Amino acid sequence: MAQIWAFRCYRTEREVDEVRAWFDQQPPKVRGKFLSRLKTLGQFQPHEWVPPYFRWLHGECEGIGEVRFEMMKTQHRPLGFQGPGLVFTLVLCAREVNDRFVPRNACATALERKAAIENDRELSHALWLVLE
Amino acid sequence: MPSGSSWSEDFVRQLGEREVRHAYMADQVRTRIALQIKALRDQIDRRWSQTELGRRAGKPQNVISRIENPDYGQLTLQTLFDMAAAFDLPLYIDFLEWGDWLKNMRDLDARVLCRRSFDLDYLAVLAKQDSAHPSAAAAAAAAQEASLQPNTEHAAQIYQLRNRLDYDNPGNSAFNSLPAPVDSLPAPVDAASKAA
Repeated sequence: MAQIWAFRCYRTEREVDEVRAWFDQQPPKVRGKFLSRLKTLGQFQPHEWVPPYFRWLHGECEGIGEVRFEMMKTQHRPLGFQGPGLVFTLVLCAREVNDRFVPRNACATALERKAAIENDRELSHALWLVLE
Repeated sequence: MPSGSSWSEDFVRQLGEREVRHAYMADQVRTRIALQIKALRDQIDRRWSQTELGRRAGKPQNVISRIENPDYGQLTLQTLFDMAAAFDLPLYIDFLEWGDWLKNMRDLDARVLCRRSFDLDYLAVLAKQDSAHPSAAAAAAAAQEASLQPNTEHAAQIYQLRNRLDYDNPGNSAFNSLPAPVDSLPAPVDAASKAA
């Protein structure tokens, strides 16, 4: 089945893709699982973006969603937002430890980046990974 | 993506590193198992809750919940046999070449993951048709399916069948004799009119 979602990534004003920088530092098993999860989510209808694959956040993180996967006893939580349409933009790759994000300010940073991208589309670009 | 292939060259190049591709493969397999068990539960002729599946498989609901989580790492072959028995479906496990695996794993749509439980009459019809005209038997099976299933499942089965014929024999003439795409399918026949 074809990918129905397009993924994008935040990049800084210096054109550094921080999601890709995170990915490049991960062990191969994490890279393989991340690729798999994005490919799976890319095929899902919007109503299928639910746990255990994904979760929309609430409260102070409202507007942000987390891709959820575990590898090597680490709960990875790539964060991002939806829009326009079936576009999901990854802005930060956090971890979850004891029900809290690491880094602690992950939500605030994600929301700042979301606002920045919504104000200037040049601050995001297409995901470098190929999903099909 | 080149025509006839389920993947692009750029995609498979990302699997060039052994550990990456095996982590990718493991997660896709776990995800497919998780999604298929949910799809089988939700199938129109079952509509089972996790509790109901658990009752039939002799497992508590929280075990079913774990099985439907692709991050659950302790899934055993025995558990899969227990699921197979609960759904009255056979289990098929094989080591494939990567090209075949990529092709088989390309679709996670719930409609494609639905399966019919053991049905002696259906298998007997298939056996008769298969011996008379092997390539037509598959098309006849799809036509019979169309009378039993709502349009969405019919579409999925036609899709599966087209893929199978295309995959087994790209030049198979039976491909062209299959029913038209879903948007031009006739309305499904309900059980009452079928009986009449």
